[in-house]
Amino acid sequence: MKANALLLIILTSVVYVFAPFGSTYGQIKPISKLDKITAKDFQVSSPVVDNNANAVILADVGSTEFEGNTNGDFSLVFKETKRILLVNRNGFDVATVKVPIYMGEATEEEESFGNFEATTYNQENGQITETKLDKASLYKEKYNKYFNIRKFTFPNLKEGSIIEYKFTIKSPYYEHLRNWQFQDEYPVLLSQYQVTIPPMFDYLSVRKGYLKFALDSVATVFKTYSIIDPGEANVASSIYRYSGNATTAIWLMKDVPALKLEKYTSSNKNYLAQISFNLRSIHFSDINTRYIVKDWFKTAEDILKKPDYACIKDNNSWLKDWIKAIVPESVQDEDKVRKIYAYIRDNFTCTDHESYRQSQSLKKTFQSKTGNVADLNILLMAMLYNQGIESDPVFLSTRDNGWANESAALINQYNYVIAKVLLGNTVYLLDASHPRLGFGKIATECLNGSGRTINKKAPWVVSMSTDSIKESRNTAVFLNNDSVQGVIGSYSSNLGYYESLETRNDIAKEKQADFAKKLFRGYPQEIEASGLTIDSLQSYDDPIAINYNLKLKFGDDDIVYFNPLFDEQLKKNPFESAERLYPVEMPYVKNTVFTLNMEVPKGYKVDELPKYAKVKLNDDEGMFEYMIANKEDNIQMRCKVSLKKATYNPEDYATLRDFYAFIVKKEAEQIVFKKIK
Amino acid sequence: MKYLLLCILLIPTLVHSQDYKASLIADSLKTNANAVMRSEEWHVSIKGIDKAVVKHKWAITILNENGDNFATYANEYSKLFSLYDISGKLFDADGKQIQKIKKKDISDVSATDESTLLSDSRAKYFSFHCKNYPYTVEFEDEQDYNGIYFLPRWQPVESDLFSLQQSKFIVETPTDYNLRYKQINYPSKPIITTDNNMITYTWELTNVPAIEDEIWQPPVDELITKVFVAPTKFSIGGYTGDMSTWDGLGKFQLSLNKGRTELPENIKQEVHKLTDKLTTKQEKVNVLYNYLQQNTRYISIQLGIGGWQPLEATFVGEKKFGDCKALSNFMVSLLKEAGVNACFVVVKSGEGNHYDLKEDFPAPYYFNHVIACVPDKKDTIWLECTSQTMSCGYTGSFTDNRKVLMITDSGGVVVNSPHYTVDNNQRTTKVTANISEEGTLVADVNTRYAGLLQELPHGLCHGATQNERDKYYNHTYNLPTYKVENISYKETKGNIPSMDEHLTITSSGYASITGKRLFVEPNLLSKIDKLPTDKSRKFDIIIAESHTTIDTFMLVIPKGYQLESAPKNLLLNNKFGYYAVTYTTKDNTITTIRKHIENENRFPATDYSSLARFYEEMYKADRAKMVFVKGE
Repeated sequence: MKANALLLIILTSVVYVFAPFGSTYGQIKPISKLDKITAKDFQVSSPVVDNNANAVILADVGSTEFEGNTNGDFSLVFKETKRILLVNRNGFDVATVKVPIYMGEATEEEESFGNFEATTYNQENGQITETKLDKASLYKEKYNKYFNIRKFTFPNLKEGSIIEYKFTIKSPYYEHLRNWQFQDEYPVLLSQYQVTIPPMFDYLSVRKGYLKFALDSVATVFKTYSIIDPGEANVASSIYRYSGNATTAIWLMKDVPALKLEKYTSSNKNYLAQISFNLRSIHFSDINTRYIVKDWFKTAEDILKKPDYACIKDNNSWLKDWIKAIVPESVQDEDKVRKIYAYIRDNFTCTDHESYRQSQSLKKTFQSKTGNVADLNILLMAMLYNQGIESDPVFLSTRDNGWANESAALINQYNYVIAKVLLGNTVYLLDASHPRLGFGKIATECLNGSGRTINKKAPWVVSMSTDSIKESRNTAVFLNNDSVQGVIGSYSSNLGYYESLETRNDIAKEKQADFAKKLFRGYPQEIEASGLTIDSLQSYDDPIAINYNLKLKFGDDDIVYFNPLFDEQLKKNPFESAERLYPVEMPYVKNTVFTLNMEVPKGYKVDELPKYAKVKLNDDEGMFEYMIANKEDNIQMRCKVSLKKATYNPEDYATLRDFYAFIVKKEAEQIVFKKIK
Repeated sequence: MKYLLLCILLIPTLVHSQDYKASLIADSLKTNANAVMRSEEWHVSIKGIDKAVVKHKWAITILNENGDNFATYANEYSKLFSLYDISGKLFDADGKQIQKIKKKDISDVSATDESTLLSDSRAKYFSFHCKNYPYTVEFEDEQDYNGIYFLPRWQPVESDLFSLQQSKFIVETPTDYNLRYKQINYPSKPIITTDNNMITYTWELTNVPAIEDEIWQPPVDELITKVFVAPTKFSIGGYTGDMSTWDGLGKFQLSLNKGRTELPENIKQEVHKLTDKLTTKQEKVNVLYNYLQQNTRYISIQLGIGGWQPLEATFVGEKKFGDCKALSNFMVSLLKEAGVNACFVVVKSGEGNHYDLKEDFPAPYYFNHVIACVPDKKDTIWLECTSQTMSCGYTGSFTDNRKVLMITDSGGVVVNSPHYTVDNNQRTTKVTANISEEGTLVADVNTRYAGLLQELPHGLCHGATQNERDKYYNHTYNLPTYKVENISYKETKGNIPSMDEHLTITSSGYASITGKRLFVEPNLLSKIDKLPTDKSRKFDIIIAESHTTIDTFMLVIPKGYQLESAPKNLLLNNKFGYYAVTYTTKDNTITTIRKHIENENRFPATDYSSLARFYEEMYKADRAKMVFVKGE
């Protein structure tokens, strides 16, 4: 399974009738109505149901249709019927259902919720009994400004109950045609979504996941829509009728396995079987089409015209005096950029790392010293522009948000924005929203493959492949015999950039003395560590170096066992589970080198040394080498782990785990010193 | 298990124009502090038995990043108490105002938590963000109490690493209002003045340096100052009561429960069908508790007085769900229907909340949960009604070993919940293992857990799927590269339940083989951690729980090796506990027996270094290695 093949994009529209993927149309019929519940529904057998399933979704059937409304426009009508078998008590949580109802940002027109029914089915003495939920038990909660929640919980639950509910939501927000998730935390035996779109609407659909559809079909149906225009005051209302060939698409999946979450995955959103929709255009007439999704050139132009981004190039004269206080006018452009970047990073707080839209005006951001990632990075670009330095926004999708598909200009798949600036011949990507993040560095959560430059003339992809980001750590230990103190020495470690950032963040939260205590706690009693110094702690653009002194109490034993790696020894395999379903995706490629140079302790000789070892991971994807040699009174050892890439496919998982198992085993080996008699 | 939403958050006001210059903070208040309460004033104005107005104003200087959470204002409201006149200001280090909250910046959200289906509790919140330390925030708000059950509690030092410059708690009542108060670590008496038919009580605290939390420290009530105030007569949601005695508080709960205990007819019949033929009380309790567990589940609904009043037994009977109050009330009704006397019991749940209830100060503040019990002079049976899997008669760490309020037919009485001892809390592990020529370990692990120690395997057995158990076991052990398989459990129910757990562990590289030597840690699984020793101890040491653990490890290593180095047998027996480990090597089998006993106890701070040494010795012994050399 190749990671990039997991993401499919397909165009659904009146014009494009696409060839189904692995479809077996003709054998599988779409579901129009669920069968009545019978005794055999309580006994499921399916390859995807095992003893991990606390509940089984027997069927989840949904549809979206358009209808004319009385406000002179179309509404979306979304219907869902869901039937769930509660295998045991641990699955009872699914019997409490919360349905968010959107209220609109500006219009405050709430979506309507209706046709609600919910029933619990139990088997009692061979009979199936029904307990209906009374309407008074459907609760409404005002959740926040944008959403209300309808909530209910099923009565009379037993282990083995089947619950079924249905509802209809009517919505005037046809830019938000509801997505459909075929996969769930529990196995799904049948999931179907049907969408019927009038001729004038054109949606782009995006599919994710690696599961195949049992049915994937498109057909045309003749439809008539009646729209009532209420008219103005004193003007009578009028009825418009639109007729034509609507497109009806049906997607159906059977026996969908439960989604399992794993460590070292960028986002389960990348693997969850789902389909989502983007309104591309509305074709009012042959000469009047409103394009919502356009090409990247036009999209970038539109984004930059909106106040969110247009404000970058406004005459923000109020900024001038402030900038004067931050940057002396005499300095070079690069210094100006660095100073302005550091000013925002060090003085502003980012309260929301998921937005490419401003939450407030530029001025408000500047005054409150607070905002979301877009507020902060847009302010950065505005301040640069004010100094005559051009920059471009770059849209990103964070690792949690899943991969962005770069083949269509779908801006709602992004959730982050940074700035791109060209200084001399070097392109810098700047994100001022993270404290202590170095100039030109990208936070690990943003390392998700690519980004998109928002520039109307050059809306190009910015590649940020995790395989290309190297994180290296070099550690050296020197130990000598001192006539007075015994074995003493020094430790010094040059950390990789991201590890440095983590360490800086840790130290910012505690005193350096506390950090030292925590660090030294890793050593056994016989080893005394002291005198911690940290280089480059305050120069955020550079990695840090950690240095301290070591003193060994060697004791007087006849035999001494000594691990040459000290606390750097990898004691536990980081890949815990024996099997893996999804690719391993680390945020960067990591390499470590450890070297030891020591004098054999006075009065002892080497009895046994670990042996040289070298293993490769899949020929050239990684390497581990353990070298050790004893020459007279000197021991030299070098231990190196290097990986060539950050992403590994599930079929390579076992090899990766074995590779680390070998490292863990080898690093546990000891030097044996014997007392000279 | 879930909480009863008894908690009311409090809050309220006034303070005059202040100088918030950070330079005015004494150095003694900066030591160990992330934030300093500069000034605070509570003004609780009680108008009668069911009306109060609470004003709260406070200013906190935040010294570093770890204090930033104090720059957030948050308070709750509901139908029973409103919230208004919120104001907030931000000041720089020089005390110059740099920002002010605007009404539209305050978020207003539902305060219903994940486990609650429905509540009328809402919250307003707002945060200042400032990166230039120190800075000061000042907040102010006002609440109207529509009914009084809870009154604000004064606890000016909110947490550790927090110091206090000045705080004042003022309570004003009509002269005929009988206010009661309880001071905890308050050095003197309140100032009481009478004026215009009003009595005013004032408590004030100044210059309290920050404390730093320590491991196993005494309960927070011993460390900081608190003042509780409570009514005598009160009224809320149409109910009235007198809480000056536990009996009175019990009577109030009885009035809330009144008319809610009747079971539906079909359930009454069910009860008789299940229990009429049974002869002993214990049998009836077992059967009905099992009936409750099989037929109901926990869903929380909290509306107005419904925070304390259970839903009717008929509701639970029909819908088959309820929260702790509703389910406990239902359970009591089931038992009474079967002729077994049973009581509703209110309690402060949670591990570590053993000392909350102050017996000399009756008040509802100590409670957040309800259980049921079948009272008996000797063998009271305790029932946790929100769990579908717990043993009948076992309450567990959630409600054990504390004072609780039992609601009898006539009122209320404070009693003790079960206390699990060193004989109850036991773990016995037997491991037989083989180590291959490559150093791979295959171990068969059988463990019996009893009492409080069985709660973890109980949860894994009943609350987790196979995948979740696999994930847990394959993460929890400190073994190099390993896999746990064949996980199985056997449960033995009872007042002191036990769980037998079986596992097979395969670990490659468990033994390290370097040329001619083999290194192995004979103790596979039982490893105690060290205690931190980097700071000098200030508080007494509390050992909260007693337990006994006995492990036997039998390891068979490959043939042909001779012992080169082995740890010495160790016996430590002191006032902190008992620890013994013995090693026997016969042919190629190593047998290690480890026993550790720890008892609930309290020690002075001066004992800390010897306790830490005791732990260090156990830490080392648990990780001791044996070394073997290949015979020539």
